[in-house]
Amino acid sequence: MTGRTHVEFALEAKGAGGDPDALLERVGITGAADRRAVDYSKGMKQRLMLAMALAGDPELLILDEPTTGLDPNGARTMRKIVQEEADRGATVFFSSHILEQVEAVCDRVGILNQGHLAAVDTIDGLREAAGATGQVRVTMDAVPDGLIETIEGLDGVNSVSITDGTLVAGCENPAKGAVVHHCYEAGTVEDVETSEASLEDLFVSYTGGGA
Amino acid sequence: MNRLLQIARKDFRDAARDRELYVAGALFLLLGLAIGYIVGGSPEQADGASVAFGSLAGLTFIGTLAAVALSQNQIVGKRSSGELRVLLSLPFSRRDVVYGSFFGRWALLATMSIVTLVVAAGLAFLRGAPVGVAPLLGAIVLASVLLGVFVSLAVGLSAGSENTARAAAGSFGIFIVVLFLWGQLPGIVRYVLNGFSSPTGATPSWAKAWGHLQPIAALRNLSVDVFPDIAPALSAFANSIPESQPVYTEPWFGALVVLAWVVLPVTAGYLKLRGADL
Repeated sequence: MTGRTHVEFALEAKGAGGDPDALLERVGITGAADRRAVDYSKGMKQRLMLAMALAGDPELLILDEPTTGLDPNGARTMRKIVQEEADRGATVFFSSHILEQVEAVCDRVGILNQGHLAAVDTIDGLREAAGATGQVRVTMDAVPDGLIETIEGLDGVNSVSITDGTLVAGCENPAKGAVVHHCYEAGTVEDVETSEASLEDLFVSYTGGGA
Repeated sequence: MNRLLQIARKDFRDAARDRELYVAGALFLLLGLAIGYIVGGSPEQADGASVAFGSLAGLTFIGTLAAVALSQNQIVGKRSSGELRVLLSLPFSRRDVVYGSFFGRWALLATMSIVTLVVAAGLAFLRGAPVGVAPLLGAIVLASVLLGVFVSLAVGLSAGSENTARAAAGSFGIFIVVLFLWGQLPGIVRYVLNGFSSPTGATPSWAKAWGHLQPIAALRNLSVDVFPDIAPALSAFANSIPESQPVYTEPWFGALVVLAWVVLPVTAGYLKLRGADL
């Protein structure tokens, strides 16, 4: 069966009208519509499967690792389609190990650990609930003795470490000012960077790190 | 039901891309040519049922073998290639897939047996032998039912197997048991029950009845009154009917047995697949 007949088959199965070529174009394999799908590359098969899933405008789309086998452009197309489907009103449920992708498109994120749902929330909600939600990096010409202990003692600071004259404190957002303030008092501050916890950090904090 | 038929149609159409189908098709064609050639070779000895009889006898072996060969990979092959998951992600149920494949293959095999009969009849007729239409139609019906039994067995095993090797071994194993070893099984059981020595005395009635639970014998018993001139073509692989005509050789009993052979294997396979973790 060619790519097009696969999509036609899916449309027929769902009792839906629709243009198979439009679906193939949406997933970006128009050029291969008349080729046998068994000869498709992994990424093309993935795209074809997405076209078959999109056939008939389903209300719920369940995608398992939708971006595996796709090049960066393909992954971007996939992300765009997920967004479009969500805007159309469909619910899109997908699993992924690529946390940037999850962060980019998801309204709600569930973290699975050892088969158990460790947390479900929006990314912001997860950040809040996880506590260790951000980082502040302060680069100093020299880190004075005792500063680490002082900062570790601050409310809302979870961890402090020093590498190459840069002090890194994992802390909640409200504690960041106090951290910077103490560093400023104690020595010469050359640079300050702050960041919010990435989903990766959240994932690690929910699943307890480790292997 | 529509979805089931969609699977059946897909199954039928998919066959056109299948290399095995061409081998099997050539076999059916050759069988038809051979029967037509032989019957046509001595037209004075032939009657209107000769072509139908010969074709049905040939299909009892070649047709059933082809039915097993073309059906045994239908579900498990899809399972191992991932096609099954794709089908199930569309609005098809496991039931649609199993029974759809079953009907699709059955239709395919019935079509191929029609090819054999039509080719045989055509060639015999051209060589001057008489060809009756009613026996031909009867042979088409009997061959189709018989092939349905073997498609059911092989599709059922295919649905119930976790890998292709098991499905193939099981299907061909059952084919051999039904065609060649069925009649020996009671003897083996009696031999074991008798302390691994040859049993003595008259054959018990259960052992006699066993021979008529075989699908080919049951089909013959079912149809011998309706098609007395072609049903005996099935007897090459079936126990003969005793003089006393016990109840298990009655047509209605044969009908029940045949029905069970068509319905139960594919259903058992479906039930196994229904609970399977894919």
